Amino acid sequence: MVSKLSTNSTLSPSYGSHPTIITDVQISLSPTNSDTTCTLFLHYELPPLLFVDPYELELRGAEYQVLETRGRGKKELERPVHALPVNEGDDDEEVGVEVVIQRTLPAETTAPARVELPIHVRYGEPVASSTSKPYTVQEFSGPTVVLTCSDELLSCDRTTTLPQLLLDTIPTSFRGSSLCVALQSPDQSLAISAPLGNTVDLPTVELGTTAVVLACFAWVAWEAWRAGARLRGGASSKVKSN
Amino acid sequence: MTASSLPSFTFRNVLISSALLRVGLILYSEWHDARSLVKYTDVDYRVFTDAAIFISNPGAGDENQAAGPLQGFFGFNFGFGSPYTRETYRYTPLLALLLTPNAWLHPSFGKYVFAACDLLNGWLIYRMLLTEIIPEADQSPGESSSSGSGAGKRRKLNPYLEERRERMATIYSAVHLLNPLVFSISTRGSSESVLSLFVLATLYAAMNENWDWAGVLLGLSTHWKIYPVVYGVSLLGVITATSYSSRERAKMGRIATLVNPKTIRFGIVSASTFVLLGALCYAIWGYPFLFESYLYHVHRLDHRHNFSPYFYLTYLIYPSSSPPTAEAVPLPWWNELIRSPLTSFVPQMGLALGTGLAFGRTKRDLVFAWFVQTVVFVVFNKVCTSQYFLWYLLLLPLLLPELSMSWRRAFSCIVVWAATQGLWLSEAYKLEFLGENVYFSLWVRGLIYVMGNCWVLVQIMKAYRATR
Repeated sequence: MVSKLSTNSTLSPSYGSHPTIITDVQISLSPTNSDTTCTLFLHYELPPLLFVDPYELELRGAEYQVLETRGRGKKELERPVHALPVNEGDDDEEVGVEVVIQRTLPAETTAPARVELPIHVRYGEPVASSTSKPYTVQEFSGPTVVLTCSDELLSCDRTTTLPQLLLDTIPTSFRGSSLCVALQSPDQSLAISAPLGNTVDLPTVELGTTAVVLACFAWVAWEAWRAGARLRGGASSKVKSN
Repeated sequence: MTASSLPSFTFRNVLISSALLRVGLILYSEWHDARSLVKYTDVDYRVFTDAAIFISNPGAGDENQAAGPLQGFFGFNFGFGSPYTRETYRYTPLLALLLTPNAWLHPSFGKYVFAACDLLNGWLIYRMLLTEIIPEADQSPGESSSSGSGAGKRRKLNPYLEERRERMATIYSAVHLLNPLVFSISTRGSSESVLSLFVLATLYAAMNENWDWAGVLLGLSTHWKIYPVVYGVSLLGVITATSYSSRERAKMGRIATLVNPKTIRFGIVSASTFVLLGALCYAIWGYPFLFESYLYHVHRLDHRHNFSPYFYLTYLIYPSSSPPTAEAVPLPWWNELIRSPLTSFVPQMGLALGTGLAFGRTKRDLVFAWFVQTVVFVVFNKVCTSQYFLWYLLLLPLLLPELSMSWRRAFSCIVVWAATQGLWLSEAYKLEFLGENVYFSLWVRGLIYVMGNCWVLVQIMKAYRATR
């Protein structure tokens, strides 16, 4: 069976807290028999600044299945990036969460297969900046795409070394000559811009918050005392008149 | 022609309309969610449902098992899983138990429960307005009903007055039942209406001077969420006012009006209920229950943007998990004090408890006391989302009959309350969806939110039982 496989990923939008990685996989298959089935596996390696909500991905069960989610920050959905657990050993600090998803394809297909992975952006580590509006630009790669078919595939790349998680996830029966690999081109890496807190603001924020809270506390306390005195005065008048 | 003069404007019809509205929205939510990636249903509802599934489907071995010491009773194995297997489930396991039919009956079962609680809340509001609050408000603003008898002094009413009171009670309860914030929150799957039911039931029992039931319900409310504990302070004075004659109270000192056999009994009943529920949940679900339901909230750091201005401070000083690269410079004492949790805790709890003591003196003032306590608790909290507003909006219909305010002043209050939120939301949109660096301006708008809500609260305090 002749096959061609290429992939192109974009980030939509490339700003905000809730973008989506859109991956278009161009496949050209000519199956030798009608019983041929093919499956796409996509492996995402996200930096610590980004994360997925596994429960949100479950809602996309009609489109694809999540086979595995692991890595730094997989469970800590609510923390900023600098508060994620520190990896022990030789684990790469630049790698956050890895995700592997599976999608079944029709036997004959020439139309691109589109896979959308919603991701979320953590709060980045604040920096000291004189510009007062610091940002960080996080670059990362699109997913590694693997095509497997029940028929033998020809004319495709099988030499790329696969990530270990992907190797562990793809069923062994799909390996060998039935496997094609496509990678995002390096000059097409994805990038997201995320705003950062400015530690230069800290003294103002500390004093301002404290001053306003204490002032409002005193104001409400004073007015509450006056209201209480008015209500007690009214009650006393009734007792005296009785 | 006004709505209230329409012949069909009865509480029964308002209740039926509210029920149909909620059923319609729940059915719509199912249709919408099946077709759109942007869901009508709140994320929290998925959390509750997942927790309910986990609780009723324990795993093998150590996976998804209730971690408490009590696994069975006289040979009967409970066979519970742990709702805390679900990340971000930080509620009582009783909520997950309540929603277990989501798994085996229908996924929207929980929404119907929350909607039913909404309707019950509306009925409780109507009953309290009709039997207690509006009759009291019909007296002079400076008067308060005498203590002693829970029935009070009710004269035979003329039909016109009775009809007027029913109409007013219907209008004010419709403020709750037909409030878009209320019905959208419950039909989207937020569980706030369940806690609201417990709080209103506590208030209803207090108004009927059933203090043992009030104690039980307050204990249940506090188990469900901690904040209702502040209502206990205001109840102490009211218990004394209704349980002792004015002559007996005249002999009591200030301490004795708070600590006497009646209030001690109430405290014991309430505390026992809270402890028993907690002990039962701990016995079955163990330390995860204790941590996720209570301890987590003590140490939580809400760094993501929310109405409270504390978010930016929390974000800027959020502790890093990496070891420091340089030795930390000790802060001056005033800086340590500012960063201390006491700087937020003292104003919040000082006002919440202080206003409870100040206003919790008569049964007539109980709603006002609870309203003020709830507002200050929410406004001065270190985190605030829209759902928190329900905690005091619930009490507003009960308070309205006792407010004397010009239409102009009332309009100003509504505008300020809504505008401070709109001001914040418009900036938060830029951060969340456009990725713009607006942290500082969002913090400023958080300060405006605090000041604006305090201004509204002060207006309400001035208008409460003001001389017309």
